[in-house]
Amino acid sequence: MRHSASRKRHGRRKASAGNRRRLLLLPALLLSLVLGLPTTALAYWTTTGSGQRTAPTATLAPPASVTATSTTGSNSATITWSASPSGAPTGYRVERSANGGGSWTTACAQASYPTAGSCTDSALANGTYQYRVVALKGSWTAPLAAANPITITRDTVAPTVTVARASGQVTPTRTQPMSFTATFSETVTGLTAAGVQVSPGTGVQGTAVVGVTGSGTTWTITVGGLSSTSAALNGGTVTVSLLANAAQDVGGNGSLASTGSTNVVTLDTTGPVAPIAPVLTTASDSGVSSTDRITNAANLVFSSTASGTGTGTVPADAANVRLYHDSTASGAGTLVNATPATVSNGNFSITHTAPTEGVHYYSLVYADALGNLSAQGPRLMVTVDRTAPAAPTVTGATQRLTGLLSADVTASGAYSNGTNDAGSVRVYACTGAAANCTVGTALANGSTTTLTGGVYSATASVGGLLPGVLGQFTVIVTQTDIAGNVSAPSAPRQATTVP
Amino acid sequence: MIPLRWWGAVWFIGVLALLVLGVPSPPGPLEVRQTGVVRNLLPGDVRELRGVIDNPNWLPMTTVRLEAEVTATSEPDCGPEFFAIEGSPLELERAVDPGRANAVWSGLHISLVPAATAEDACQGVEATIDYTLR
Repeated sequence: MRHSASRKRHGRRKASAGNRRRLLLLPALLLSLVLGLPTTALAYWTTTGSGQRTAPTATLAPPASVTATSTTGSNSATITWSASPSGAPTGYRVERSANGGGSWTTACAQASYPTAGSCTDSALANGTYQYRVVALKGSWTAPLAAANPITITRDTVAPTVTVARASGQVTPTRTQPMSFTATFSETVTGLTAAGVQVSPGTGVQGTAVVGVTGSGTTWTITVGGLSSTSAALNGGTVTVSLLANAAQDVGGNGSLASTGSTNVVTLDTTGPVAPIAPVLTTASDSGVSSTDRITNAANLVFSSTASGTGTGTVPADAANVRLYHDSTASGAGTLVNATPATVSNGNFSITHTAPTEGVHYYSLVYADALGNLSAQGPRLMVTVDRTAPAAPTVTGATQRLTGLLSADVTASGAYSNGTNDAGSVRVYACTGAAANCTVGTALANGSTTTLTGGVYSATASVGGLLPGVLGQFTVIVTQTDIAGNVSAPSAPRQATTVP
Repeated sequence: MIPLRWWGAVWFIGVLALLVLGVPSPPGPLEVRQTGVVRNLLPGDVRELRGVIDNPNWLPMTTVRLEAEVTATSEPDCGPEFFAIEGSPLELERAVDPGRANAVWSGLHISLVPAATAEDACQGVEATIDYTLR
């Protein structure tokens, strides 16, 4: 201020010395005064002047809320701060002291932190550190804002890890992905699929698809994309382990290679070999033949080849069997047993309850214990026929004495010759009134007679006759089709005596 | 009523009085006032200076140029050399009528010169700007 005042006085002196009168303009001035001309136009004095003013500069404030934190075991510290309340800093500089504030070095540069934020100071050696954050504006620095001191005690022990099948993961299995649990000795980060080693055993093929989730000490590893080869009916093993340095602890130590003995799952995606055609049990195959698969049975029972009449054996890995009816050449048809029949000691039995009349095609599909299915086996045709043929006609009936008290009674005529009808006929011989001749009242009946050609001739031998009976026989005839269905009796006919 | 024949004498006496008594005394100095307010000057900031000129005389005065200079600060470690005024001297050749604020001026700028070295001493400093009219 003294300096300024001096300048002011100096200015005044210069003003006194510097004033000049312009006498030649005096008359004009006087004239202007008299005539009232504007004074501005007549300014003829040049003079000096002075003034003074102050310009205060700003003050840069330090950032607020400066904190320093470090995770236990970590070799890094995180320093955070909020913006300076005044001075509009253009950046901040984080400084670190390892000697209690004796000297400071830059931990984070200004350019990285144009605004309030955080700084991670990494790769620190063990020790106690102090941090402070300096607000920057051009060449200005704010008064220093210090954070709390923190102590770094770096973890130098590598984490260990064990890999085991995850809870609920069964072995063997046909389901993917398979799950494994990796348990670390301490919290780790950075575990990815790249750190997982999948080792397929013999009988397993494909490219493993690995997924990794988790955090802290427990991670889940999933493995999919594999299959067992067709030759490996019981599948193969899949072993999962972690490579060394697959994950890192807070101190940056890489994990050791994993250990564990339950890190293996047997993968079986192959079904049993295809079965042979199903076998219809003889008990279910009624009629003329027990192997012709033409039957009138109410229920059809199919069995394994071991207990049936077919050939072949149930494969060892077949745990249960599905029976399909009305199978087509390319499809499975309709499932007979919603609950698959269990194979026990190589045997099984499946009942098709009340199949409809007609032709049915049956086929089998095996499944192993894991649910892997075999291909569909060949088909077996079974004809279900529960309709009795029409009663045969009797166009001729004779009786011939064959002994003192015996005779042969023979009937002949036409039989019903529809599909599967040509089984056999049976002659029943009665005495007495024709209207009273029934199967139940017949004295005798003949053996079944194989039919061919549309006509038949069948005989019933009658013995133990009483004298005088001959000449009183009446016959009725029934027809049995191939499936075993018996027709109604024919109309009775009086036999004539022949020599 | 002054007789007509006396008008010549009156005029002569008047002119003589003006010559003897009315020759103006040396004019007083003009006053330079800064009207623009400069606050919170930061490193690198450039702020405009502007103001007015007061003429305390009874006659208009002619100015030639205006000079501005930081002549002092409130902090010895942040002297005037840390400040710069651009545009000085400012050519200001004009007539200033008697009275206050009859002439305005602008075109000067003050800045806190960015320096490679720390200027922390310049925080909160009050710099004095002296204005001189030539």
